[in-house]
Amino acid sequence: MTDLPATDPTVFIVDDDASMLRALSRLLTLAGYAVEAFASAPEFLAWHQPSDRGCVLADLRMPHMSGLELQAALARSGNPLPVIFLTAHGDIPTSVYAMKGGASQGIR
Amino acid sequence: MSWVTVIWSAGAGACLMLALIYLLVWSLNHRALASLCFSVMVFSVLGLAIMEMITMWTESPVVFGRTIQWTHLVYAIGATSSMGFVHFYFGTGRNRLLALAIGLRLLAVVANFTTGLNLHIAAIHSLEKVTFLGEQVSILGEWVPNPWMRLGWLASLAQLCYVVDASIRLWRTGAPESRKRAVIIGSALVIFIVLAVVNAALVTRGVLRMPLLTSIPFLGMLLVMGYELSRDVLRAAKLSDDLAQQRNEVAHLSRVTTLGEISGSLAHELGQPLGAILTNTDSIEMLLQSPTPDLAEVRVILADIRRDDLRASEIIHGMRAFLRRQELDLQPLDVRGLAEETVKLVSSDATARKTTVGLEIPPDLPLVRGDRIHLQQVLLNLLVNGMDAMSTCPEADRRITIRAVCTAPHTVEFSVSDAGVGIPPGDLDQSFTPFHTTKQGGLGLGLPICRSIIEAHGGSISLQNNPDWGSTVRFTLPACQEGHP
Repeated sequence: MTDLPATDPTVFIVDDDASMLRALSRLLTLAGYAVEAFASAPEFLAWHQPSDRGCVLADLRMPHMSGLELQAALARSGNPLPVIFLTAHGDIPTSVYAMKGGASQGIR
Repeated sequence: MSWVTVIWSAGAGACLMLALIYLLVWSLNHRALASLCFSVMVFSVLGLAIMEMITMWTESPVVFGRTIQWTHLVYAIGATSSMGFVHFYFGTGRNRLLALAIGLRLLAVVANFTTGLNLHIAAIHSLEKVTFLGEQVSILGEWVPNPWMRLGWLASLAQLCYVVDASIRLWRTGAPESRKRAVIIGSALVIFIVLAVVNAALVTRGVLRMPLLTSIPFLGMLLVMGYELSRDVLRAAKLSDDLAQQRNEVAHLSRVTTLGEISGSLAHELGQPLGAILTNTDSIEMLLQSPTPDLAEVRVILADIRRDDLRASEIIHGMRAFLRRQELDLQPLDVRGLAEETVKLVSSDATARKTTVGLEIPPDLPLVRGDRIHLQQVLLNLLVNGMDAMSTCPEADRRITIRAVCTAPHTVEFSVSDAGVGIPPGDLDQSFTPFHTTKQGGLGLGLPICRSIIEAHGGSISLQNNPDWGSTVRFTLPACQEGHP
């Protein structure tokens, strides 16, 4: 993590599972993306700047604040970055809810 | 010491023991009236044995006659209680026949005390000495029979009819267990009554020159009946085994159901390491595409893969252990470890339902004696219940606390408190009743199973509403003595 606001398009990964977070950051870095990793949605929101560009890769099910709540908070923030949800259990109501909130893709 | 002394004393000792055992059985369960009757019967045989010893050793015709008089009273008590035994144990005797037999026996006792020296003897002029089992014992010499003795025979005949009739009716019920009981006890009683009557008839007529023997055949019959009664104890033990087996089956089914309820969270739990492994293999593939792959990084990733794989298999292992059918296996358990493992099982579900689970377990708590899986099931049930109770509460309030304290030496009390809606006062009493449920779609088996598990551990469980909001389930478990510092 860095204290400087990201100016390059960045993938912001938000996942409470440390090893998933690590694996995703590693893969996307290898693929050539600028990556910022966060263990929780509030942590990301605290760090988030209006100037941020890129997208958010978030786990749906997290303590304190779920992926869907993160999406809603981002939508309110005035900088609605696109959100990609990661879920092991992409049931239809959740997908519909996420799509309505502006999600474009669910990755299983 | 002679054989008479040995046999009669040993018989009396055995009677005393047997009588006390069945008196104890009755005192523990006042509905076991057959045991009470049996006990009284055995006490009366003890009395008969003592009185027979007195008559064998006395030199005085008056003492001889008076002792036999009291023998008749004791015999009447024994005969009545044997019929009571048949009444309660068979449940097939005719009450009128029973009343007739007891009435005749009562009349015989009245005649025994109001006519002659006793029921059989009007007067004794002299006693004789004969050798019986190597000992000189007194028997009747010259004497005058009491005509009222026929009343005794009539009473014995009525008793015989009652027992035979009850046995036949029990046989006709057809169950193999009842038939066996009818044959064994019915024939033992019949043989004894016949032996006692025939012996009395032959001795009093002077055909047999030996003492009156009632207690010895009676003792044989007691042993047969005692054997039959003790088989009841074995049956009860088997029944309790069957119940324990069924409790385990139900507990197993309930574990399957509970795990079904939290299967979504388990899938997530398992999905995390599997997803990480997949992502990591992609990374390795990408690294290996380079002409000079960074092998040090590959090694780091492989270590991650290994760790995630172990984590996934740990989850599957825990799930399989939880689902395994098993008997109660009591082991010393660390309370905190037990609670943490259970919370882990439910953690993903708790996350999804915005519930925090807190542990307040002091580090110096003794180990408890229990079955890991069954106790996890109890805690899991209580956690899921707690989450259900709080589903309509504000998210900030959704908190479950598991506490454990050492309340008494060798007792650890657990409590699981939620801040939910609580239990309607009318439902508190019925919370542990099977199939009573306040949850939509609930089976109403969660708390009853918790109770049966805790009671099988020798503990107790209770449910109360908290003074502010929510409810608390408390349960106790025995602590391991060696685990205490």
